[in-house]
Amino acid sequence: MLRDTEILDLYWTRNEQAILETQRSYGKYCYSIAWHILHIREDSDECVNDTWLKAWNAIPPKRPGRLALFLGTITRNLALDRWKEKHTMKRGSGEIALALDELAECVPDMRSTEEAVEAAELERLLNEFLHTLPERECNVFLRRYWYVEEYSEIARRYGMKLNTVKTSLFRTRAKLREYLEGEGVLV
Amino acid sequence: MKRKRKETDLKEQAIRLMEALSGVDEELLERCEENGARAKAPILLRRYAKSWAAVLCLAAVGVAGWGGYRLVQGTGKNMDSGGTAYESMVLQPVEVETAEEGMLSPQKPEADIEGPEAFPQEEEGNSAGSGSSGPENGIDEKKGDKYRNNESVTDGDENKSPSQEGAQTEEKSADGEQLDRPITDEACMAVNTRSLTEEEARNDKTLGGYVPVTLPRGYVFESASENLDSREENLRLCWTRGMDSITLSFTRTENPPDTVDAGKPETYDERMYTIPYAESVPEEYRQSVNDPVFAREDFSLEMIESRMISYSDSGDTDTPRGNFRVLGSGGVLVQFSGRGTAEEIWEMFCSMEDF
Repeated sequence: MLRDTEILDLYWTRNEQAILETQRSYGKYCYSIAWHILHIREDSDECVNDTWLKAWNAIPPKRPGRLALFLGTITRNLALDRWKEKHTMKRGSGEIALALDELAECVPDMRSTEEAVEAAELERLLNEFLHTLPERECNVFLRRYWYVEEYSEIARRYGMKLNTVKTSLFRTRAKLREYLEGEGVLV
Repeated sequence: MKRKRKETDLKEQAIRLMEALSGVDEELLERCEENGARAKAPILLRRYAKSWAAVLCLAAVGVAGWGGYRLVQGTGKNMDSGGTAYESMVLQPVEVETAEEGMLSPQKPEADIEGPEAFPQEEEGNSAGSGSSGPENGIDEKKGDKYRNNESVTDGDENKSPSQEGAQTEEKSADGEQLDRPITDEACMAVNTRSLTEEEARNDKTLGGYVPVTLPRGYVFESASENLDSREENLRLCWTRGMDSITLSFTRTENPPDTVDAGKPETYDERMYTIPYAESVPEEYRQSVNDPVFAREDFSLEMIESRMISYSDSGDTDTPRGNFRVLGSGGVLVQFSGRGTAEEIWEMFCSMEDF
């Protein structure tokens, strides 16, 4: 398997082998991120394929320092978008769904600048909050809410008891709520 | 009905939090990967403790048995000397009569002769091993490698500290001979920087006047530093707004880079090209389109507009982002990289007193 720098070089020289090598090196990693969110094989596969396309379009000019995290974040965002499509926008199927999708392309982006700033602010606060947590607590939180792993998986990974994982997450959530309230954020 | 609506709202809020988590610092994610790998070792050790103990016992018995056998062999052959055959070979030079000269000449002990030369393959193996952890496989590469498909997080390598991973490096001497040398602090020295507060940066005698007074709305100071290793005077500042950031670096340079021709937008205007840029930007402009240097006298809002592009990346903000450098008076090079609208960035540049 090629090293990250070699894979990135392939992208920069627009060699399509880059996608094959990325798939070989990070296919399972990205698939596992998508799978944890979607739990549907076909959707997870599509997310991973879309990840390669996004990476192909972004590199160059980008040259990510940590290719795995770069790809993982793309996959996660795509999987979340797909999940939202499936769960929050259920409006039947067939032609009406297609028609609505087509019309949706004509609707301007409804997200105001203020909302964008709020989202950015929320990200900043989350980062700030995570930096205040003890290392183990932060890791468990990210495993659960970034990678969307099951409690048992996290327990195995860190050699913890299942209940300890649950308690840790419960406490962190309470802390986060308190922190966000303290910062005046109403999510 | 109300309850259902509340549940929907809560779900939406949870999704917002999930989405916001996408912007979490990479270092935190990386740390949680590393620790996951590290924590697995004790579990494995515990799970297979009995097997390991049995293997160790067998090994100990084997070593003891072999030692005893050699002792018996040695005492049988060298009863007079009172030592083992091995000791006699190592410690005493053997005198052998040479056929040609018919005289006794001291020879190197056999053990010496069979020393390093007797196991060339092992040596090669060792150097190959160190090669695999050589400089090309630097620490960053190792970090990247940990996510790869065929490398389980339970790999022994995962438990190594970065210093162990890169403990050996391969170098070639003048005559091409491979040399294994430990990486010392000198070989991978950290950049020697001095952290500054925003106020200290503003008060910098030579470059403080370039620090902008006005920043795009919502940006807060993140860090400022000076690279002490550089021979040129320099200053670097960073401001952030959630996932957005602005980084400005100022350098008083003795070797100013070439500036782009303002009349040739094809050399710097990113809007003229489509993604993937590698396929749309002509090779001769790739360098300048990627990192253009504008002359202060040509610099304008239009030029900033040509560099601040908004991308619709899933999960990312749509704030325009871009990068460029401006060569100001007195050889001061201002490097910009960040996010904001062109107007905001222009205003920011206008607020630099010395610019």
